[in-house]
Amino acid sequence: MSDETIRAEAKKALRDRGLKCVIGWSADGTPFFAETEEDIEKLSFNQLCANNLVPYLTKEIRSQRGKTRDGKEKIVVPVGIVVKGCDSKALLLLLNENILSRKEIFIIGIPCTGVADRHAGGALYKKCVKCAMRNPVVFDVLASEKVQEDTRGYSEIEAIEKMTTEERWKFWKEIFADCIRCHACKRSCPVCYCDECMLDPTDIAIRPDTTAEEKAHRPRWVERSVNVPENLLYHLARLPHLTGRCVDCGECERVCPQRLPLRLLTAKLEKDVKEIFNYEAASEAGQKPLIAMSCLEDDNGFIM
Amino acid sequence: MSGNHAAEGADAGLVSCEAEPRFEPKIVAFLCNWCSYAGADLAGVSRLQYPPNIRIIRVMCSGRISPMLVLRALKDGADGVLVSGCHPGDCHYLKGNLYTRRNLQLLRSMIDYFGIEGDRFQMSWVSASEGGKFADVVKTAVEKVRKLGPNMNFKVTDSQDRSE
Amino acid sequence: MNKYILRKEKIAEALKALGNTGVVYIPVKNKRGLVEYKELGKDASASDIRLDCKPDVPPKGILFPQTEVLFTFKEMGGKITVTPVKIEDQEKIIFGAKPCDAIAITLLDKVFCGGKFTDSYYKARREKVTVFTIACDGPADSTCFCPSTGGSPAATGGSDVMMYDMGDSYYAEGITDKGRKILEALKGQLGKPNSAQEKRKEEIIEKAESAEGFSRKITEESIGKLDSSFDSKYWDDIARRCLSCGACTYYCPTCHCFDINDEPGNKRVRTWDSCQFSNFTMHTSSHNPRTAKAQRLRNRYYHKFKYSKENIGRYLCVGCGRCIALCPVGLDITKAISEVK
Repeated sequence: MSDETIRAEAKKALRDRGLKCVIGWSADGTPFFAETEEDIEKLSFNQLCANNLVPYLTKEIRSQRGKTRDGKEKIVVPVGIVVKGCDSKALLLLLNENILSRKEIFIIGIPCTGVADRHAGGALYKKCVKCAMRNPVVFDVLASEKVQEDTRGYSEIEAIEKMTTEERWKFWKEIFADCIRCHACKRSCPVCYCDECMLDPTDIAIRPDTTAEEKAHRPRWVERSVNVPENLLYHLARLPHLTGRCVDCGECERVCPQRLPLRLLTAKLEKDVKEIFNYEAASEAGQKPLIAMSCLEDDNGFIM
Repeated sequence: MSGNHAAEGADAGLVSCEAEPRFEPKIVAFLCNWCSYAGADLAGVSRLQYPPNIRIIRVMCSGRISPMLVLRALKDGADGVLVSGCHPGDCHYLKGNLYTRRNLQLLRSMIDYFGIEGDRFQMSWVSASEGGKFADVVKTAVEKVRKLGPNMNFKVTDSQDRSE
Repeated sequence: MNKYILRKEKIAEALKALGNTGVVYIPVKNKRGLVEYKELGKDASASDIRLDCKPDVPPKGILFPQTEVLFTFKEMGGKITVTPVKIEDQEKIIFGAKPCDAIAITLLDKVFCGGKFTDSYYKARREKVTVFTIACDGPADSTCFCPSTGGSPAATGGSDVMMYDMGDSYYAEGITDKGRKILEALKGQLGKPNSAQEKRKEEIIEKAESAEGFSRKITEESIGKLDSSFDSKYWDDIARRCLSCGACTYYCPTCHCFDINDEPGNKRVRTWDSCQFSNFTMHTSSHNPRTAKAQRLRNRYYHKFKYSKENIGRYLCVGCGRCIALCPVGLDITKAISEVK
């Protein structure tokens, strides 16, 4: 039983590697931070465990980093995490980008056959019906047998690409009219880890010694007004920051309280990246980020 | 149509010296200092005619152009955006234009996907000696955007005219 | 005579008549499956009306829009001219509110009009709003907990007209003068209740006040523990999974915090803000008293249950449960307060 394996491996790692905690899920699917063996007994994996726990891992590790008062590097206590296939891809990406270091993490991978949409009476999430990343791609231990994966299709994206420009605008205008800019998508995204986000006018990294003048002169890229152009700007500007990094884990769409079909954006990005650059995010360990590389032989495309 | 008339008309958005008012797009052009800006300079010095619809912003390298600049220009009311840099392989900072080529290729695809016409966003490689090419690039970009009409969708429309 | 019967098949007609007096907002299911208030005739038709459930989005945005231009200004030659916006003076009818949301409106009234200063933008809108509320007889769904907050499924606070579901019709009663007048004007579409319907109304109220069927509760005792748990590590544990996304505050019918900014286009704009955003309490001096998620989450719960009771005499929470339904990480205010250590 996968629960038993998860708990046994977590306890072993807690003892042997001196983990700070193991981030997993409780039986009701909510994220749970197990710090003791007693806590670990509460860890579970089932169809309710939809949350991608990687953002918590990033925070737990990065909050430990820094220098002590005498200028020495602080010691980072390793953290354990339970990851599904999609979660592990995000984790691999962060490892590839050197945000997290492999020795700081203990990974319990759990092959997944899909998680349930609580708004759809427990039916599987759309993203899970045909999933190409059910099996974790990076792990220390696997808590259950690997499962069969599907191939990735882009039929919904192709349908939108076939529309005329006017039809597309009409389609997206309605969607972005509903966005309330709560930033849940950004907050739950495992690859969004910037301390200061260009897209959120309130999210500026301010230290106690930042002057009022500095703050006043900070350029504001996206205004606080919520209307279709600003909402479009937010989403359209977020995508280039995800180019070659988004693994399409679907958290953005899952957490959106307005139920915006955000995977129509992330999947399009993934399709373009594959078609134009023949690149897939987190397809292997040590992969270099797409937009940090440059190539003389890239196609000139539409450039005059 | 003489240059002066066009200059007046472009600011007002309409050209009044012709029988029928014509839409004059406002295009923001980001030109890299070392090649494209110099090329534009050369076009001017050589008295080459090109439409005055572009508003030039000089940046040190086309690699500085983040998608946010392009998008913000469109959201703030530009009808089109042009980004121009050195030819690949000739970048003053060696690879800046190569990074930007990667980044902005995808941006164009995404802009188009959202129903904002991709043709509003143009890019070119213009070297310091290509004054003629620069004039042609501007003519092409302006005509492409003119055909599309004013950018009404991706603009905050309840704002006052800020050209005053 | 202030009690009427509106047959369900006549709702469209009644809405049309109401539409002659002002803009009517009705709860309808949108393309994405959320029930929200939309303008009748513009974005929704009467046949789409959903009076059988608690709307996912409260009518807060009708009185307190998410984005509002306060005034515009122009600077020329060192002189600044300020142009005020036209004050909204259109009659608005919210048809199909729930008692929790109606009570929430009275709480927003306290915030915007109840103190030394009156928010003229809110007040101008509020005076022109008439609220038709449909009573529940128990919890609308498992997230509801209105009895724990001093409310009830059939509470009339904030409502101008109170309606009770009779099965094939609604029993409608004017609660305020505004409500009585508007029902009087609708007389043509309305009938008179018979004794069976009077009895049914009483049954609904009785069942509502019995507060049975609510699986979520917060006791006075738990709320009392808040006094001594401010410094408890409990809040760190609870908030550990919070994403600071702000969804709870945006959907809360009583949350009213806002930000004001000058924006391109020479306008001063007021927008919703959330106490869960990391820089919400950032001072000009660059000190931020609430840098940690736990501090912000604790503050929200304390504001809803402790500070508001002390300041305005009532909990700011109306027990609608939307924060529970929406939270992407399963945070539950009822659980958090009930288990406070």
